[in-house]
Amino acid sequence: MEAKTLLEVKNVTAGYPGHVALKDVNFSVAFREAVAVVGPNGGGKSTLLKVIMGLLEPKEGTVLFCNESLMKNREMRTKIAYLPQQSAINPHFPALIEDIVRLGLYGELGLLKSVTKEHEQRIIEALEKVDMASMIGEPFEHLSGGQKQRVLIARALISNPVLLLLDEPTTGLDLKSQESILQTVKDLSEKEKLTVIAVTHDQVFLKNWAERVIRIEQRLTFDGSSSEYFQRSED
Amino acid sequence: MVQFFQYAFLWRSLAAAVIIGSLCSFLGVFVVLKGLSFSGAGIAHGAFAGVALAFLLGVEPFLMGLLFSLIMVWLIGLSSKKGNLNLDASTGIFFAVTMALAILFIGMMRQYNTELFGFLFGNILAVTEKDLLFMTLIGFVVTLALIIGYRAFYYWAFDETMAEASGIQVEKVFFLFLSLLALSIVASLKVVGELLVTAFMVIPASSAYQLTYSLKNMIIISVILGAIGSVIGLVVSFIWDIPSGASIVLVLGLEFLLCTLFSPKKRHKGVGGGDVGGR
Ligand SMILES: Nc1ncnc2c1ncn2[C@@H]1O[C@H](COP(=O)(O)OP(=O)(O)OP(=O)(O)O)[C@@H](O)[C@H]1O
Ligand SMILES: [Mg+2]
Repeated sequence: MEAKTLLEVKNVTAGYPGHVALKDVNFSVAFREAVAVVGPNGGGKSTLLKVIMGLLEPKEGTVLFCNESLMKNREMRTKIAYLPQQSAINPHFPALIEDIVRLGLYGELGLLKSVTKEHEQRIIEALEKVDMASMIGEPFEHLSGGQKQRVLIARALISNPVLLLLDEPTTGLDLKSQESILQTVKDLSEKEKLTVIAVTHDQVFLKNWAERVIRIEQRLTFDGSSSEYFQRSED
Repeated sequence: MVQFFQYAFLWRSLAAAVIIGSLCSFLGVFVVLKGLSFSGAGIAHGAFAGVALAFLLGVEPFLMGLLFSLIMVWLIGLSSKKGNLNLDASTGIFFAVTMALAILFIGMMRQYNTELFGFLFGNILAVTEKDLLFMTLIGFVVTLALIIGYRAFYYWAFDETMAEASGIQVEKVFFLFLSLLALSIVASLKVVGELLVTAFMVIPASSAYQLTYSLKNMIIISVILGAIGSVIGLVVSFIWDIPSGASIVLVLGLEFLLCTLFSPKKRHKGVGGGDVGGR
């Protein structure tokens, strides 16, 4: 039996003014799949995630999430959580861990709805999922790179998403932090039954977590199981 | 000291110091976190060019200042968001152009105008009832906007991409913030002057940053430091007869020194050295 489809990327061409980053990309992702996206720098991996998120409208083709277009149905976006590539976050931003996770409630609360006890409980639960609940009251700036990344993942998880998009979650971290992120993402895939698509260059991550690998170099140049992918790159 | 409270104009100055001190240090928190102090200086230059033109034409300086500073916001904003310029470069261009305009307008005037120079260096003792009304109005509008939009400004200041993914229209937030900045700068010109207004925003926020790990507390501390510093600066300027803008900024600088000396952050060695929560 075919597994139920969560996401369909159909003939997508997308890019920026004067630059085509993705060309005619086709694939679909089933519920609970663990998909790694690989490819060279500038290959269009981050662009692909932005298109899936509905942050960038494709020039051609469509993206369907639960059979709906995110460009039309913006409410659906709250079902997708997104951790951008190591961005320009100020590592000394004045906030406690709980404040950062609370940001993830914005989609639900908007500017004015107040935070309830139930929301506070969800902050704790989201932190438990990334094993950071014991540090809830710590300042964000006291954390290591890996811990910061896990708190940011908790921020993404608080909206109870169906699909989690991670853009190079372990890049720039030391080995120990990389391992802790790997463990977190494995737990999310296995215990929380989340569908996860992660852009990564990290071989350990690929070997130990990914079931399926997609390679993007403007076009889709590989789509198969991770064992096939490793066989191919060894040939 | 006794004479200080006898004059109505001193009460007005005091009120102006508190309003502008709190307003600038509230906005200043976001200016510091987003690294917008140079844009603030650029907007202040634009506002001053507008004020200079108003004196040349004999129209209301505040209105002309507002018009010029808002045009400045849009020019800086559009050329950095739509053009391929970074914010620093686009600010730099208009910073220089508006300064040149101001010099041109001043050159075209027949005589030296003391009141105009009050806008350059700040002359808080010359604050009129009408000025105070204008400051109160702007202070009210800007504070209200910051409080209502607090969550969006917070998320935007933390990370634009994540904010956008959560449904915040970051470009709108950016333009709105720069516009609030422009309004506040124009309202502050008479108190601190165009040259020192950025310091007025950046120093209390940076001092508060030394003392806390929470954005909300940073805002509260910054506002308190800004208001107290402005009042002390005003009193000092009256007693020793020095320009108010300068004395306020010097007091704010002193506050910063004290906050840095007593900062708990400096002593902190970090609990995050290892991956404490890892398995
Ligand atoms: N905002 C933008 N404006 C214009 N061009 C962009 C923009 N973002 C990305 N590009 C271009 O689009 C192409 C694809 O970029 P993208 O960020 O998707 O690559 P990537 O595969 O994620 O690379 P990396 O491994 O370096 O993260 C690159 O050539 C890049 O220069
Ligand atoms: Mg990328």
